[in-house]
Amino acid sequence: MEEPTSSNDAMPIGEWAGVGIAVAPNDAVTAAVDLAAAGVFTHELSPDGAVGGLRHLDRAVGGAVMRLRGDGVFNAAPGEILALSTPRLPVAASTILLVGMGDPESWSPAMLETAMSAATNEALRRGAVSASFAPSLLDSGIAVIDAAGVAMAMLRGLLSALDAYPRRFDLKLWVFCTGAAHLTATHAAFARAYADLAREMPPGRAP
Amino acid sequence: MNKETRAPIIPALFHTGTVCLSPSSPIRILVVDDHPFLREGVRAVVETQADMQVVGEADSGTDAIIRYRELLPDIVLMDLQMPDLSGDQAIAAIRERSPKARIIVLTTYAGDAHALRALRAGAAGYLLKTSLRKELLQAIRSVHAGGKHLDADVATDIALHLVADAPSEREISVLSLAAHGNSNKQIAAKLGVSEDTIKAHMKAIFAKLGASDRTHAVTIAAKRGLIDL
Repeated sequence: MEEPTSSNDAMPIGEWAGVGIAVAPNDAVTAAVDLAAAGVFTHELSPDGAVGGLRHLDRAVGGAVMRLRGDGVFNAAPGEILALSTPRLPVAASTILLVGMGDPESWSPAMLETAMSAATNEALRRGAVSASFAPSLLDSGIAVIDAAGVAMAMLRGLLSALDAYPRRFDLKLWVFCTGAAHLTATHAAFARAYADLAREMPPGRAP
Repeated sequence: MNKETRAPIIPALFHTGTVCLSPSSPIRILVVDDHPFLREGVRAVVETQADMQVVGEADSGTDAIIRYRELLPDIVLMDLQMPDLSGDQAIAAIRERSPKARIIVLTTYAGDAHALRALRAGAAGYLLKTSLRKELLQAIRSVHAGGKHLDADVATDIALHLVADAPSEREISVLSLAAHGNSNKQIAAKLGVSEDTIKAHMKAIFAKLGASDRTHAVTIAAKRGLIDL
């Protein structure tokens, strides 16, 4: 298989509740969706601060991500959300959603499930047709990542929120963002997690 | 897929309680603005939504505090510049008595100083009156659910200006007097200091605001919400 090279190279994972789920080599700036969510921890582990997609996002909004956090407007507590509406180019999305991930020192995949549920609920509430989530783990300096556990936690967060939402919704596409270099491995981890979740479903409920 | 036909995918993982499919009670909203036309406009927009209801209006900061106590709305839409008590003062007063009050500022002021004052006073949202109808409705739902919502340009302005050295309260006082037509000598007399001290303040103000002269400084400060003209 050829390595994907552009943001159009979204790799499908599956579908739940009418929502297509994919992994794509995007970040919160480049994801061409209605709502682009980005995980933000209370601080970065590296003394150099955020890198990668999170740094790209912060720069695209004039440093607002780090400043709002530094000034206490956004504390990055687990599940906390702050929406930035109508961001200017180069942000492709109509809305940026900062999602609190808590303290990176005590990070666990369970925090991702909380963050994903919060992001999904907000996307549904806002009537988004497409949405994405960039967890910002590597970008925040978290070096040791259990890819299978991360994928499972994010999928659980997404599917549980879709399942529990009490109203009809417009969402048709959810994209999990990853770096281009990690796309194939991330897709494989999500595909395995999705298959594992499908096996846990009651008979006749498998997608 | 029809929402009503779906069951939780993994019973062990997800709650087993009945999912409520009936509409919950509407979001109760208090609209605070000294312009009746604006209040009517907001009411017209909000009341097109089945999940929202305007339960009251107030035309001043003081009235907003009274009406909040009477009505205990879920959301307050608050203007900033109003007679007797400004929006940020009203926000602080409401939040002091009701720390969980959810307040969204709806204003013409894009300036970072206005936004920061309001956010520090406890506002959970900051929207411009030029915002799209859809943004207002999204912000109401988001803040009602416990989130925060900012216009991205306002957020960027906050970030850009926080990086810079902010003028001190004394420097703001000097600039306010300059904005009202006072010469350095008159400002010095009013503040009880020497004219050289005022010149030093003005020089610092120019540097902090990136202004080339006092008119430019007044324009920048007013735009950012540091002074009111």
